[in-house]
This record gives sequence, structure tokens and C-alpha cells, in this order.
Amino acid sequence: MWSGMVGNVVEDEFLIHSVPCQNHQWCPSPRAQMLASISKRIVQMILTLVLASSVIFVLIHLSGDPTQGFMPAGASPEVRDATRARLGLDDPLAEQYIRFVVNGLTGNFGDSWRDRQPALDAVLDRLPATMLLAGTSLAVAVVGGTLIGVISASSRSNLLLNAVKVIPVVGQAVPTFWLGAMLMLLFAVRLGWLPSSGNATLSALVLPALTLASQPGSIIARLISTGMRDLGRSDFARTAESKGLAAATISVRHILPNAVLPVLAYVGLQAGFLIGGAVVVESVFAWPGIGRLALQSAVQRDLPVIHAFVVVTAIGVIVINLLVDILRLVIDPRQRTPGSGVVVANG
Amino acid sequence: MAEHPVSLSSGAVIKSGVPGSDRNRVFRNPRPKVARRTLGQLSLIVLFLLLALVGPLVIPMSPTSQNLAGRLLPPFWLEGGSWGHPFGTDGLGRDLLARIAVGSRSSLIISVMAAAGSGLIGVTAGILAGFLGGLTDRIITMLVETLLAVPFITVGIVVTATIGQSATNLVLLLIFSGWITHARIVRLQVQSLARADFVLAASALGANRLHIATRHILPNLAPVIIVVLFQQAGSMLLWSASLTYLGIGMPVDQVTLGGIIREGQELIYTAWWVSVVGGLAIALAVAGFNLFADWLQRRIDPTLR
Repeated sequence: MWSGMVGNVVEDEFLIHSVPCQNHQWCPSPRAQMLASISKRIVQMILTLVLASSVIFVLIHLSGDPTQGFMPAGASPEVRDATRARLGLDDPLAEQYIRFVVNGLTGNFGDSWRDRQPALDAVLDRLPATMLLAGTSLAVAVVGGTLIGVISASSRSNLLLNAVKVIPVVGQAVPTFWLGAMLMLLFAVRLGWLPSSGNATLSALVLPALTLASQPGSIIARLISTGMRDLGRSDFARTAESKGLAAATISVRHILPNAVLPVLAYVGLQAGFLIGGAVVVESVFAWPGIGRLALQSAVQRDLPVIHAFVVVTAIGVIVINLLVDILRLVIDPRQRTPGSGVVVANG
Repeated sequence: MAEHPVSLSSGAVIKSGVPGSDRNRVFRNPRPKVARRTLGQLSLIVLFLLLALVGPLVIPMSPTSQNLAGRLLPPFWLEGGSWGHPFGTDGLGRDLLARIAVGSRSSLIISVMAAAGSGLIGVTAGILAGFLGGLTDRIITMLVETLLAVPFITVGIVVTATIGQSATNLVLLLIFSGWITHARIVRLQVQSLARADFVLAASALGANRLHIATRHILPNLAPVIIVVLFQQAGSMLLWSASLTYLGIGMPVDQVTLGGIIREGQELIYTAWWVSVVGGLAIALAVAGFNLFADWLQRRIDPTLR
């Protein structure tokens, strides 16, 4: 689910992203950067929503009669025509298109074609469950991955270091949904320790969250581990050592903040896959979030709900990216100091 | 000339004397290691290709014929299993090995086509963005960032809800979301190549931009493109299986790896091997593609050897 690659090419890309103010003599002030980031993300959001609505619109009208999917096969032509008229499908295409895109931007998707409820409400009702699952997984992945990365980088054990390097490679070959099914087989069916589905109790969150966190967690562990190894040989680490700082202080206060920057870039880049992964995991564990709703609606061709789902998830991805932008400003003081932005060597 | 070559470190040697048995001994040393590694890295993809391409032709069992008397037979290594159905049978008594072979073949075809298609579009877009820069770059970058907010799964859901499921639609939607990976990587590579001395030299000699792009930049991009292509074939296989598992990829009536796992999950209390074996086939394929990509990278890029 998570964009599979952890090869050299992609890791280089994260590192390139993490170098602030490339080749500029100075950095803009933090407030200016914050504003630039927010306005960039707002533009991106509008563009994404317009593009998403346009693609959906084109596909709807490529498919012929959109009422075909959800009307009973025996419906009389009169009923069909009435439905078409009620949904505004007989208006000129250009008018329908503009209405569709504007509705997508303003959150007015119309009623679900299945049950008489606004499509947006149907999605928003399910959103907290998905946010709980995705948020828990992200926290587990970042905290757990960072911990494992730090431990493996500071230990002398080559075994641990190699394990951290190899596990993401193995992990990317294992489909998320299959891993979920295997965890379910082991912990729910065989051992009976945890519930296999639903969200009735908090213990039902454990298996889905672990499944969703496993792949990003292993990649984060690897990014932190290799990053800390490389940064440990850098000038600033040697300076800190010559000042007589304790090894633990150097690792946590000096090296770790630098090693976290590629992780942030990774999380921002993979935000979409986190939400995609949540859809998969919800389906495996019957978790009642927006992913399951969207899958059911897809099969039933309930287009307003699909439209609302696409818009809500796209906004989610962009908000995560905005948070990553802001976090990067908070963590990296090089980006906050106006006028001192000569690129600091990264290792 | 009876001097022995002086070995400095592993493999390095000061040449002296006649090329004789001593010299050969020094050079023979690293070879078996390389060969073993090559064998290890290539065995998985070869195994998967055999399963997907030769399997459907030589396996005598039918992947679709049902036999309710022989349903849920366990694989041969469990009690009650037999070599007649090496991996056992599913809930309708269909042979699992035959189904996996046929499912692997369709997965292979889809992922190779999707990887090739997204490679073609992505590399073109990446070169245009990185080499032309300016407005072209901004438009392509913006498009890439926009598509990043719309993951595969979302596109799969939209396609299923509108134009419906088919193998063609699946390949197209994988390309729709997949080309941005190539575009991003190629764009960065082109930008750093465009600053390289040999490009500067070429343009100082009066070469035009098309000549530089096709004769100087593209050949240097080839290694990255080839490696990413195979990595992406693995990812595409994974994604197509995930979509099919969710019921929004291949049509439900087709024999697919994702479908086998979905059916297996419903049987997880009675016949756990169905989903286990299906998942192992996917893992074999993806690990095979990735290791092959690693091997290629090592072959192409001498600094990694």
C-alpha cells in the first residue's frame, strides 16, 4: 500500500527535500515561510478538488446513463426519466459540469442516492473512526520506528542494524491486507487474544493499527537508523563530542533532530498512502470508517458519497502535508533564521 | 621472476611476474560470492516467472472446475492432503495451485503493462519538467502534487463506481496514479545532470537542447529508469492485488491472487491455507521484482559493486 520503494533513489530524494533553502543566500523569515506554505497548500487543495471533481464528472458521463447502476433493472422508462430529471442529469453538460465542480468545492454533494441523507454527512459520520485508526497507526509508526531506529543506530550490534535494513525490504513485498489477515489468523483465531473485527472495544484497535503501522514504521526505523549513522560522522557531531557532551546527549539533542527531517518528508509524501492503507485495513478488520463506506458505495454506484469521500480524503492528505511543513519549520532552526541560510552540510 | 604478488587488501594486488596460477588465485576469490548473490537475487523472480508463465500450461488441474465432494482439502504437508492437489482446494473444491498459477499470470501481465505505461509517461514528463524548467516544470510539479493527494485506492473506488471493473480499466488507473513516481525521480535526476560539466561542455560547443537531451541526458538516465521500472512492476502487482482484494480491481469472476486471498479470508476459521498460499505468491512476485531491481542496479552502477 505504502509506495513500495525504499531504494537509494527514493532515500536520496527525501534527503534532497530536507536541505533547506537550497542554493539561496538567505532564507525567508519563518512567518513568511509559514504563510507561503499555507497559501501553497490552499492553492493545491483547490486544484486537487477541481481536478478530482472533473475526473469523476468525466468518468460518470463516460459510463453512459449514471442511473443504470443503482436503478432496479426492471424500472419503467417513466420512473427513469423522473429520476434523471430530479438529479439534474438532463441539463446541458457544461452546466452540469460547473455545478458539479462548484458543489465539490462547497461541500454540497447532494443526498446519497441510496439513503436520504446528505452524502457529506454520511462521510463525516464515519470520519472519526478512520481518524482514530489512522492517527493511532501514524503515532505507532513514528514513535516505534524512531525508537527502533535510534536503538539500532546506537547499538554496536550489526545484527540489529542489518535487521532494520532488511525488514522494510521484506515488508514491502508483503501486502498489507495479507499481513492483516495473518495477524488475525494468529491473534484472533488461533490464540483468541484479540477481537478479529469491529470497533466495539479498544482492544479491537490493536490489530488494525499494528497492521497499518507496520510498513511505514519499518521504513521510518530504517531512515532514522541510516540517517543517524551518517550524521554521527558529521562535523557538528564531532564538535559536540569535543565539547565533552555525553554520547546520549549528542544522539538525542544533536543528531536525532537532523535525522527526523527525512522522516517528515516521508510522512508528507506518503500521506495519501496512509489513507489508502486505512481503507484496506478497514476492509480487512470490518472497521466502520469512511473506507468501508466508500467501498460499499462504489459497488452500489452511490456517486454523491463517492464524490464526498474523494474530496474529504484529498483534504486530509493536504492537511497532513501542511502539518508536516509547519513541523519542519519548528524542528529545523536553519529554516527559521533569516539571513543565515547558507546551506549547512548534511553529513 | 618468482616473486609473489603482494596482496594489499581483499582483491587488490600489485601485479608482478608472469600471469600464472598465483594471479589467478587472487582474482578467483571474489567470484563465487558474486555468483551466489546473483543466484539468490534472481531465484525468486525466476520461480515466479515459471509459476506464472509455465505453470498454467503444465499444471493438469483446472483452476475453475468445481468439485464439492473435494472441497477444502488441505495442502500436501498437512494431514489429509495429497499430491493430487499440492496446495489443497478452496471452498468450491477448485485446485489452489492451478488457481494461483493462473492468477499469477494475470497479475504479471497487468503489472508489467502498468509499469511500462507509467514509465513511458512519467519519464517523458520528468525529462520535460527537469530539462525545460520554468512554466513546464511548474505545471508538471503541480500536477504531480495534486495527484499525490489522490491515492490508488481512491481512483479504484471512483472507477468502479462509474465505468466499472475490467482489466483494461485496472491498468489505466494504475498508470494514472503510477506515472508520478517516475516523473518525480527523473525530474530530480535531470536537474542534477543538467548542471554536470559534460552538459556544460556540450552546450559550450554549440549543441542544441534536443541533442543534449537525447544524446547526453537520456543515456545517463537509463540506469535509474530501468531500476525504477522493475521496482514499480513489483509495486504495481501489489497494488493491483490490493484493489482486487477490495473488490475494486479485476472483475470478481476472474481468477486473481487478490480474489484468492479475499475468498480465503472468509474461510480463515476452517481453511487458513487458502489465504496463506495466495499471499505467499504475491510476496514471491514482489520480492522477486525488487531483488531483480537491486541486482540490475548493482550490474549497471559500478560504484555499488
